[in-house]
Amino acid sequence: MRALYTAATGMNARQIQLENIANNLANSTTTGYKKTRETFADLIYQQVGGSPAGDPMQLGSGTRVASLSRDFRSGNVIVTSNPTDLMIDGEGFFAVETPNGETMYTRDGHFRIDLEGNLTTQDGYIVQPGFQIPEGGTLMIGSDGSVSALLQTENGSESVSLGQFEMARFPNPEALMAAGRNYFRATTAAGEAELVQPQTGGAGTVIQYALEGANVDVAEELINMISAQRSYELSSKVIQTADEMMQIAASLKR
Amino acid sequence: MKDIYTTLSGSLAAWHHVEMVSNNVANMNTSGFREARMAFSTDGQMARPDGIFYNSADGALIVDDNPTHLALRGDGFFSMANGSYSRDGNFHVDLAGNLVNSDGIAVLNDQNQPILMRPGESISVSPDGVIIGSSSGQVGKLGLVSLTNATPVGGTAWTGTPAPALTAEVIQGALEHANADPLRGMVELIEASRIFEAQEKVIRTSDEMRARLNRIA
Repeated sequence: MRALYTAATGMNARQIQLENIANNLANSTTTGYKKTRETFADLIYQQVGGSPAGDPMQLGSGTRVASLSRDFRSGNVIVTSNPTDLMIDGEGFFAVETPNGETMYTRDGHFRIDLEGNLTTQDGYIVQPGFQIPEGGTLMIGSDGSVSALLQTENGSESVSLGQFEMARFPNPEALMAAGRNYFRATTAAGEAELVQPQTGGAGTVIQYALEGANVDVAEELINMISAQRSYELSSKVIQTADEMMQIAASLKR
Repeated sequence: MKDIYTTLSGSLAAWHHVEMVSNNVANMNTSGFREARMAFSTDGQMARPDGIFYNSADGALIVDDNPTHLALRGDGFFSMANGSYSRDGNFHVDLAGNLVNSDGIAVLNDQNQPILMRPGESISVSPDGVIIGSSSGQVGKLGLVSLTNATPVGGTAWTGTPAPALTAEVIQGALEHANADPLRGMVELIEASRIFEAQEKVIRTSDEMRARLNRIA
């Protein structure tokens, strides 16, 4: 009977793999999306006897999903013509504050300016540390993260400084919790967010008029999908064979 | 009626064989997994499994350019902090800065100490296992061992008697695919089920002969 359960763990693992691939593919055009990759490990081994020479004979009991880890490598640059489209070229995150005061983190720099002039995410979460853009001003962001607004005045144009971007960095970003809609929540395992100036400690620079595409490689996902499907099929063949053998065994007694 | 029991041991061996293949197939996507193979022997009349051995051929390289993913070529295992050894180089840096596997177990250097990374630092790993940090210089050298009597214990871990690895080579930015061969798995399944079927025929024939004998008497 063990063969049935062992093969079933294989089918289960392939199913989780497929679900993960489906999510990566579904988000292949989501700004700032980071793909997740599943890893597997074998289960415990049981001794079923020994050879005449006394060597133990061990049978494995299948596989399990060891982790679903997020790959935080950068996605492709998508150039836009929108001054509030920002991209981080580096490892940092934008810190944003929700209406109930919670700080979340995102790689999605597709921002907008709300009615009060605040720079916010599409959901209206305020980009930290908070920038107020004067009416009629054009947002300008330096590669060092300095934020200013260009205002048209009677005698030409004038630049007004609005502050400085701070990037959030985590000791272990892979342990961040995905909260959906491109946001991440800090966790104990991810560590305390460290706010640093752009261009320091690998946080990267802020690029204006650009968005970060998803880092999903569609071809890679499709190959993984084929592999998962075939592997699922093979495990089902094992179940079929074990079942046939049990039928034979049962037919012995008439 | 020795023949029935002789046959039974053959059936059991075929059954264990299927169970073994089942584990190989289930772990076809487990990186660093090594395929189990069964050796059969006959002592007198009994066909019995003579133990399981493991295919030590290198699995295919899956290149993913992730700098903390390491693949081994040749005879070698990574030393892990829980005293086990592993071929699975699916590593990442944990909160404390240690290089760890998917289960959070630290990889050891050649001094049997965890390998401490500096946050945000990029690393390069040479084929002989020396890890160089982009700003801090040499971070350590992987404690690679060669195992005799290697036995899997699950969680991609192995036990065995370690000795310094002489021929192992580390490849950065890649994982070693399981070396289980699906085609071989399917052939083994067919083989085992046919052997099982044949044993069944022997048991049945022997049973019929006994029934006939009973009628004569």
